[in-house]
Amino acid sequence: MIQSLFILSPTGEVLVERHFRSILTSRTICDIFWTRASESLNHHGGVSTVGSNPFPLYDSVPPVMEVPDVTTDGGANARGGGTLYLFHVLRHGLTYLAACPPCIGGSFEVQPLLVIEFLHKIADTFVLYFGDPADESAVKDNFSTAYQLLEEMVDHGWPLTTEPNALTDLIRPPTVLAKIQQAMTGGSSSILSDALPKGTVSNMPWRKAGVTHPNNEIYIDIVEEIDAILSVNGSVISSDVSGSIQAQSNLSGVPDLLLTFNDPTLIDSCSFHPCVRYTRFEKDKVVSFVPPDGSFELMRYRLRRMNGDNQLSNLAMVNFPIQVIPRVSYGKFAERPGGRGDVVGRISLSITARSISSLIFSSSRKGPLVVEDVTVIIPFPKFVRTANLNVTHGRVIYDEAGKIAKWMIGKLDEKTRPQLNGSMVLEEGGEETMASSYASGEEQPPLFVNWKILLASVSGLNVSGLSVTGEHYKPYKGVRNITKSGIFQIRCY
Amino acid sequence: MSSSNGTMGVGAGGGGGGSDSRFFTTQKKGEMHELRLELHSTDRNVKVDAVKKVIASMTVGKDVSSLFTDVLNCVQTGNIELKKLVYLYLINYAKSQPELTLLAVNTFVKDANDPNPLIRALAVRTMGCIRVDRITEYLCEPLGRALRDEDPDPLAFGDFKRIGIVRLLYVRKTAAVCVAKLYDIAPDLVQERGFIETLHDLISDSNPSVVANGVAALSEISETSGRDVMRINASVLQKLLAALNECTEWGQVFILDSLAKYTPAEAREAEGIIERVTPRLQHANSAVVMSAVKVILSYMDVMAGGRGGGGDGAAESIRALTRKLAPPLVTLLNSEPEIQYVALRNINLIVQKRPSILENEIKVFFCKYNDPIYVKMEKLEIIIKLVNERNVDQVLLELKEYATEVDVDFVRKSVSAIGRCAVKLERAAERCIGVLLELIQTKVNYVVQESVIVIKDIFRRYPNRYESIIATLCDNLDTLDEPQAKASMIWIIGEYAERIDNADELLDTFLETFEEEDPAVQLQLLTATVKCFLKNPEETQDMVQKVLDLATEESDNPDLRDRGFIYWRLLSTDPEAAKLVVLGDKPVIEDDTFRLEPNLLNVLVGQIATLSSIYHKPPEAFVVRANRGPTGGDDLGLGDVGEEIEEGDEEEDYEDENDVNGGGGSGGGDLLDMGGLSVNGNAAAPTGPVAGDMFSLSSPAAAAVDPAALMSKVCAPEKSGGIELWAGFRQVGGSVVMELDVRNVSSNVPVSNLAIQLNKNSFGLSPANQQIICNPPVPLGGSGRQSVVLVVNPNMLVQVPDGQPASPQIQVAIKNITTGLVFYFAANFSLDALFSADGALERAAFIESWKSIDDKKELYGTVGDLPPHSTDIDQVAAKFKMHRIFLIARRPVPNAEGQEVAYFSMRTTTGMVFMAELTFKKGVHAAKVCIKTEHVAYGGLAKRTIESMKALGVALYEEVAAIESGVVCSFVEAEAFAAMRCSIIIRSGLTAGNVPEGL
Repeated sequence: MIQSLFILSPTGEVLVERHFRSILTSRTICDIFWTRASESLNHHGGVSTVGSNPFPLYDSVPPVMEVPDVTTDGGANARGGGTLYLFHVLRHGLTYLAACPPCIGGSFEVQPLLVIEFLHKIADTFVLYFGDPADESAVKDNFSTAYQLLEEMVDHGWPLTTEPNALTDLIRPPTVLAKIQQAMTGGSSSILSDALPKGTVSNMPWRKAGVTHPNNEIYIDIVEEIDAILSVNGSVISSDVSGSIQAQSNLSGVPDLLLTFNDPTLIDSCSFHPCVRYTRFEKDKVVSFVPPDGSFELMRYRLRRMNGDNQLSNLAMVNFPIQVIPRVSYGKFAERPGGRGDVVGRISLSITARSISSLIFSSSRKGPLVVEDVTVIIPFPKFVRTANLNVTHGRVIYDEAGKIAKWMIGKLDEKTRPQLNGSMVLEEGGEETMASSYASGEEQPPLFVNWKILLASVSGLNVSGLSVTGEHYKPYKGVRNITKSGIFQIRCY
Repeated sequence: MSSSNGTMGVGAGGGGGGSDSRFFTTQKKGEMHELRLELHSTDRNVKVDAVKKVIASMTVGKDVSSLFTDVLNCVQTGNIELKKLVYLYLINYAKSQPELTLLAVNTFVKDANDPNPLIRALAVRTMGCIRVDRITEYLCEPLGRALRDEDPDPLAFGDFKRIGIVRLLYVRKTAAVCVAKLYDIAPDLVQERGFIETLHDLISDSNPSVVANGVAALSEISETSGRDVMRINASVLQKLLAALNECTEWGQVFILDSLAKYTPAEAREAEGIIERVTPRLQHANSAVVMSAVKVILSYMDVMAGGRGGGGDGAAESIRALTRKLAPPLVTLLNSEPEIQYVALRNINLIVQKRPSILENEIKVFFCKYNDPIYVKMEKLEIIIKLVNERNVDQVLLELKEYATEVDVDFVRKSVSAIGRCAVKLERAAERCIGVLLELIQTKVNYVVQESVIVIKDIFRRYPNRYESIIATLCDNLDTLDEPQAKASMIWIIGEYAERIDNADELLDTFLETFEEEDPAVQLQLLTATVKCFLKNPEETQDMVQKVLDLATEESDNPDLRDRGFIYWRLLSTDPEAAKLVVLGDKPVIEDDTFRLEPNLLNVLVGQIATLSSIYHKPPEAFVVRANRGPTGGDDLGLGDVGEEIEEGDEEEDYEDENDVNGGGGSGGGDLLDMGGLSVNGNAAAPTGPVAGDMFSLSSPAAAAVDPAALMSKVCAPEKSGGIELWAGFRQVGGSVVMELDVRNVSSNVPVSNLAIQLNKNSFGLSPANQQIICNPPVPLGGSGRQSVVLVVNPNMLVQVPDGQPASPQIQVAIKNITTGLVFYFAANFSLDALFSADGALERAAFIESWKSIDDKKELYGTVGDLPPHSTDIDQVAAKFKMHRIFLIARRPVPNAEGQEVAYFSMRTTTGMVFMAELTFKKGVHAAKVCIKTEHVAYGGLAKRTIESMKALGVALYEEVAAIESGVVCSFVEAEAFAAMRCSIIIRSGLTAGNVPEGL
């Protein structure tokens, strides 16, 4: 299993180091990792694919890496070289790096997915404890908590307790009050409970015991994300809808919940939070569970398809509530003597919202269609030095280092038709780069559009009932649908 | 629904004063002293902060071991946070300074009896991490108690009683893990104390998390000891299945993995377990899903095998299961990219084993622009696996799109994928070619080159169908600068020479730079020119003569020379036969890039969700290590020697593909075996003396004395006044001898008196006596053999530059005293002539040296297509012994049935020691070779020596049969095949009745 765990800062410095077996893995492997990772820096022509990550980090190294074992442990376990497998996950600029031997003294082979899932779990836990983003400063600020969390989460290199509810019982998350106290007195307040928390004596490791809330309430969000690739003229190349049910539970005691759907046949395949009783779903297509306290993802699902050919059933996604028409071209438009390399790129974008029949609105919804949080992300090719962009609505920021423009439009209804126009200046010699590249225009990477529509659903899946048993109170229940963009990309040529 | 923690994080960062980051501030002088005072403070907060500072220093890499006793002092506290921090410190230094840890024994013993279960668990957990014998002794007692620990906490019953929840026993859970730790340190103790039985009891525990940890501990001990301590039987199975529903996600993975190792007795049992496992496919944790997939896939085989050879019922159940597997696998592609990557590598195997599972899901494998490159590359592989005639149009549109992206690797792979579609789907080939032509029009350098490479494959798959596009290809000749692309284009020109008006001119332009070209290009040029000549002899006679001269005279590449000689002889002997051979039908290729051989595939499918499934290598490739268990005696004392058979590299995938596709790069390897073969062919020619098959096992005469030398022609008569020279090296009575065959081809003056001088060489060899007297003199048309004794002279040694392999070449100057003519040639030295008779190392010394040599200095190789007797280690060892390569030890590879490793050593008279590891697998006619030596520069030569010895055991006809029956894919192989046939014709046509024995 996991021999050692390192957490590296965005500059490759070791922030946290833990060894779970008898061997102290040399830190040199972090350097080896860092060197290899840095080689694939900005593989995508300057466009970082790690979401909103502000660091110019590697993003193209496979998550499993084979490196020579450079550990020189003088003890009985000196191993004449060998190989280590490094698994890594990049979150909020931090690298969570697990070193696993192919075999420690014969012990069983590592399971890559288990290690990677676990690294993600550590990162999730840090977010829960230290806030979002759990970045370098957050981990440095809380390093002793981080160590204690790891102590509970791993033993002997095996993942152990990772359920947030069980962990928060063992180690109290830093609270605002404690922070203030700490700042005032300058001392440390204990973050550990002194006695065995009651939660850990449950066989529902996801739920802590003795929860009380003054107001018992539960909120359910049915979120459907549309991933799509659209061609320049708006036709759909591929599209995919994936749904998830997010819940925020503030219920006292041990409530037993039963959630029913209006039309469970819409669900094709799904995966559940450990609290859900699978067999019950198999049998009755209802979701029966004792929820963890706080927010969690109850389930993920994919929609049923009409035939074998991947087309979504009633929602053959030929239309989307948002339409973007990009016009990008590179070339010599203003041929002036001596004016080489001046204006050689032009861009114009128009974006419109439109009602589409395939979107099913909740009955509580009123008024015309409004698409919210609309943002367009425009990555530019390497040879562009800068872009001068003007917009009719919202505002646009151009990040020169990342060569990315972000156009934040905000709310969009069917009447507003925002426009973006602009020109690009090329790098010195960029013209040649471009010319040696494809026929003009084909260098422009696709755009990404983010958007969200409240109280709308692609599938029409809705909650028809949510009942609580096992407790006597009547909780407040809130259910809503959200349809939003997943990875929604538009090709520019 | 985001948590309000966000603001807290920011607050903490800004607050500064109260947060832990202040402990990271740089320390000043006297800090240690200050820290020590703080550690002894009576104020608890000061103490806690001091320990935090110590740990912060530890993290930034400072040595704070001097504070050991001071930190240890703090452990006597009721404050559990402080205790935890101190234990953290202890674990860290216990590994580097075990003796200090002894001071903490009392604390551990005391804490292990603490009324607070958290502290008991903490003590047991920490003690398990410390590898000091004394501590271990103390550990057993509390561990035994902890394994049966009952939390005396009445509260535990509180709320839960009502809905019947049983108690989770925190201490027992921790103790189960601790048994595994203890087994790592002191396996005997675990046996002695009966802890394994206790673990078995834990499997029946009422609490699923305890069961899961028990399972994990038992699995690990099973692996470590090599014995099945898990012992799954009907009752254990039921308990595991019951716990599977209840325990944590990680526990589910442990349980599923041990289920995967179990083989159900019959189909019904398999079906029953699958039914219980299937709901795990719905788990949110991808590791659980993949482990469940693994159990189901491996039990499916049992189902198919059962019920009287798989009746309709079984087939129906398997179909139903297959349908169930698709959605969870597709769902994994909605996860984080890291998970997607591992999932894709596994899906690659699953799709090969059971193609029906994902046949309708090709669209989910289409690449998104912001997928990381490693995900895109894997998706492409799956797309190719799933492409069929229904979806090929859509796939081609996608691939064309990808071919315009910015990432060069991805673009190349996409272009190559288009070619693979064409090779796979006959009806789509034309459309694929259309797309490739469009891509060539973009004139992007690497796109054009890659296109040419795949078009060559399409031509090989569908001969004489798409020649119309050759003109377009020829227009882009100038663009090609990569060896593979060039070689491909030249192959096309040669193959279709009659349809290209100026084929000879085109080839001629390439010939101008023949000497600078990559060997792969040279080989293709040679073949293409010969083809061209056979099709149009009048115009190209000069050209073919030129290229044959270049190949045989100027080149020091043995493959090129051998192929040149074969063609030359063939052409000069019987041009009609040459036509049959060179222009004969070639085997049709298939797209089998990345397709795994069925046996390996079955092994790997059984290894889904493990490292093997990522690297697509069997588990043995990762580990060859003797077990350390108490009973796992390691019979040869080589236990820790063998490490890895094969080096893997994440880049390897991409390279592999190139090799298979173009074959250009692997030319050297493929033809290596040919080297031995064609030399034998030469030896059998009527003009040459029979060199004797000294390496063959059926030659007892040679076995008794020193092995004979392998002769090769080193000097042509036109350079040396009509004398042809053949040279070879061997050892006679302990001294190195250069055998020199002098053949008087056209000199009217008999050869009688020669003087010889060697240039400085990598071995420091020089002749003991410079004069060679031919007695009797060699008359016109005659021949005679001379032995030149060589001695090692340090002054003659050329220092091999760092990091470069030593050259085997020895340059020789000879003066014919009679005629006064001086001529020069070079001969390749065979290292075994230098091996001394005392090359057998003591076993202990061998192990010592093997360990001491860095793995980076290892050299690997594979010898393929061995005849059956060459895979018998006894025979190999006997043969090697003749060459003073000594068997040191042999042993079976643990956990890998039918595999055996043999270790050899050899020492040169100059004192260089080489160690070799040969891995044989039963039923596989190949062996892996690994050489370790301090003399890295010579390692390659030693490896070649070993390889050549093995290859020479091959009987010619056997090898041809092997190639003919197998599918020949790489085009280098295809040419090698032609060359092989050609050498048979030479032999059978010209030397009938003169075949040396042993063939």
